[in-house]
Amino acid sequence: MSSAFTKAVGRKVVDSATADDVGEIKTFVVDQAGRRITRIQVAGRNRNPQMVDWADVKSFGDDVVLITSQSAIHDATEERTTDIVKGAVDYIGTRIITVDGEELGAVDDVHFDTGTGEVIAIMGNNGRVEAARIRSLGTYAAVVES
Amino acid sequence: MTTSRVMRASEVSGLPVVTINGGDDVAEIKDVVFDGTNHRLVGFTLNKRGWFRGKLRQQLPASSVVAIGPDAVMVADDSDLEDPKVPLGDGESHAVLGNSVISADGSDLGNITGVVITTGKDPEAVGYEVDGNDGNSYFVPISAQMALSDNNLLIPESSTDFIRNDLVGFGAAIDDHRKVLDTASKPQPGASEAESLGRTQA
Repeated sequence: MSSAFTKAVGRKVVDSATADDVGEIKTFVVDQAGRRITRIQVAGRNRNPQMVDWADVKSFGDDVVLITSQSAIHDATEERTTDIVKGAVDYIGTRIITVDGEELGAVDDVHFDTGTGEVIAIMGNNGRVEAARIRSLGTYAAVVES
Repeated sequence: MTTSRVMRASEVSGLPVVTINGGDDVAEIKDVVFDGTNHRLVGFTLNKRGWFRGKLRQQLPASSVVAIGPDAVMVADDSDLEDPKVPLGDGESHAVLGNSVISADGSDLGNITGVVITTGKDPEAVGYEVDGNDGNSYFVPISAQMALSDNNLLIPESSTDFIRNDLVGFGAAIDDHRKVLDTASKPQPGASEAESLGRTQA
């Protein structure tokens, strides 16, 4: 199954053991290679950014995301995570630039595999870029093969 | 091989330097460092990115560039920015800028106003832009057979056919010019390396 960032943001996050509402998806943390979701930021009652690792996602459903336990929720400490939580790195809206140094537009959306958390493709305003062509996602751009 | 893409070295100034492995803008091109005596592109001096711009100590050697595009200069990662062993000033190109370009038949074509470089991996200087005495602009290919003095640049007869008025046409002319040079060096086996060294060292 696949989903898209813009569709998944706001989706309810529920503790699979206790059935408690934990919060809702705020953002996705993607690795520097731009290929895989490593964490999800969950917006709940806590004021600090709250993260859950992709490994603790039990089921990424169309309506609800089940996580193993609320105890898996943790603060954002690692640098890549804080970069994304603070908005320094964000797939949506970032420019797409080729390894030849040419801009191709900006990212409108990201399609991902709900089973593995792997990015399938980024949807640019000038076309789709398959994950195999993605080289990195950083503070300036998503760099892709030309 | 596709036609060489070329651009004026001066147009690189201001472009961000972006890492392919990180997606970060690690610097901005300040100026071109050009060795006029040897007609060789050395690299680029850099500015910091962001609101608090200022000169970066590190420089970007031409050999570390993966590509120069219309929107960015691409490098593998930020370790490609180097502390220069011998700091190079920004005025190195003055050895040729302003010089008169003299053709083999004794015509004074005009004065050198800029350097033309290739835009692919490991970019190099391939020509000079000349502000012609007839009011036109010319692009003259760099070759090993050129002779440079304080005031003049003498170009060989073999290069005159490859002078162009437009940059796009000049990119194609450069490829043809190289073929002629390569063919000329063919009779001596194993001379190809010496030829390429000779070309950069003039």
